[in-house]
Amino acid sequence: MNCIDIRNQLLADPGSQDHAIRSHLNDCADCSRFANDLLVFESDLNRASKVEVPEGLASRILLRQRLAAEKNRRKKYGMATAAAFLLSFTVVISSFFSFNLGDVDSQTLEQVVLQHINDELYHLQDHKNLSVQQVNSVLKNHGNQLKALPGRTINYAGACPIRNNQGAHVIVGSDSGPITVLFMPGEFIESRSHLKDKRFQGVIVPTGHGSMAIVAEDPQQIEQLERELAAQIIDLS
Amino acid sequence: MSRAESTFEALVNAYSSDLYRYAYWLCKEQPLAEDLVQETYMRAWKSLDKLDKLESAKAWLFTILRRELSRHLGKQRMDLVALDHVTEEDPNLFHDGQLGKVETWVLRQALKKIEPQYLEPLLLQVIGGYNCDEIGEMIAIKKGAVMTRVCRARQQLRQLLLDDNPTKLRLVK
Repeated sequence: MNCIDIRNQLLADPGSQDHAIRSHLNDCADCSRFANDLLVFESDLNRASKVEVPEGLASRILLRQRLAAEKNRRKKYGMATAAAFLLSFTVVISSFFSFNLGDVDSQTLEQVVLQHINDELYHLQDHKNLSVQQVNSVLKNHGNQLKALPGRTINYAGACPIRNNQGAHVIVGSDSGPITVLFMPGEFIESRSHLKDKRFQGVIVPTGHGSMAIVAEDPQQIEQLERELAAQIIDLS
Repeated sequence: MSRAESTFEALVNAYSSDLYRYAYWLCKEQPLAEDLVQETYMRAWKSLDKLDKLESAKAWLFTILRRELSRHLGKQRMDLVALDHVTEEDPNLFHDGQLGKVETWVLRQALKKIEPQYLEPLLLQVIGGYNCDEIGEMIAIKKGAVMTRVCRARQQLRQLLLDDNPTKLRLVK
């Protein structure tokens, strides 16, 4: 390398420890002086490049980072809370629907009737002694009307949901205990069927608008009431 | 304080001054330089988990800062920063050092006039302390090109100092 090459190398890297450069500097006084001057200049350049850093820059960076971290933590916590809430909500809603709708949908009509009666056992304690007109005011929306029930007391009559339709829940008194009659519009069956659980027994019979369940603890009362109702119910269809 | 936070704090304390100076000389505006450094550190914080080795943190930060600067300059390429943007500074702002205030001011004015494509590798060498190989990796040019640029940067500086202040500076003889 000649002097120009050496000086260009030094201008690119003033502190170079390259053997060829060091060797040349040992032999060339001019280049050695150039190299020494360049090192001084480099020191001045280094010093000149160190402009004053704004006071508190590092603190401001750290503050900003900590605020961002805190915000992120809050956001994560908020999202986690929201996710937990949403999950809980979903589980609850899913459970509700699977219990109240899914199971009902998969249940047979007999199971629906028995579950409904067992869920509303408190109606068996009613003793309202309703008139036929009062009962018919409940039944009128279901396509049936009752002419009369001689010798019977009607302890309760009310609208109630039966699966996806609005039905009517009627409690008729008897010597051996209350009898439940469920009018179930839209629940069409092909023929009369029986139902039974540990406490209740009953029948489901087809009607013009769906079906009707007659359920009691004493089975002897069921067929009797069924006959009476068959004679007294007017199908409005 | 988490481990990430203590690492981050160490990086701020160790390199924020160098990063600020590097940004300042490239954008030549104090508020913008500070904004760029803050943005650089915020980006670094968000991706601190991507930092494989602590030893490479400084180069990583410089690289983020370069990207930030490019982003701020928008469509303008970094090496096309107009020299009109150079602002005059009060010589009293400078630190006292081996050079006198006036000489330092003159040297800084000369530094501001260096073409950006030569200035950037020079700053990485002077402020960052990187060698030509490392600078080549950082700005994606070959080592030979880096050597040429820093050589020209120093030549330009020397020439500017000679032209402007032939008697005030001790080096350029």
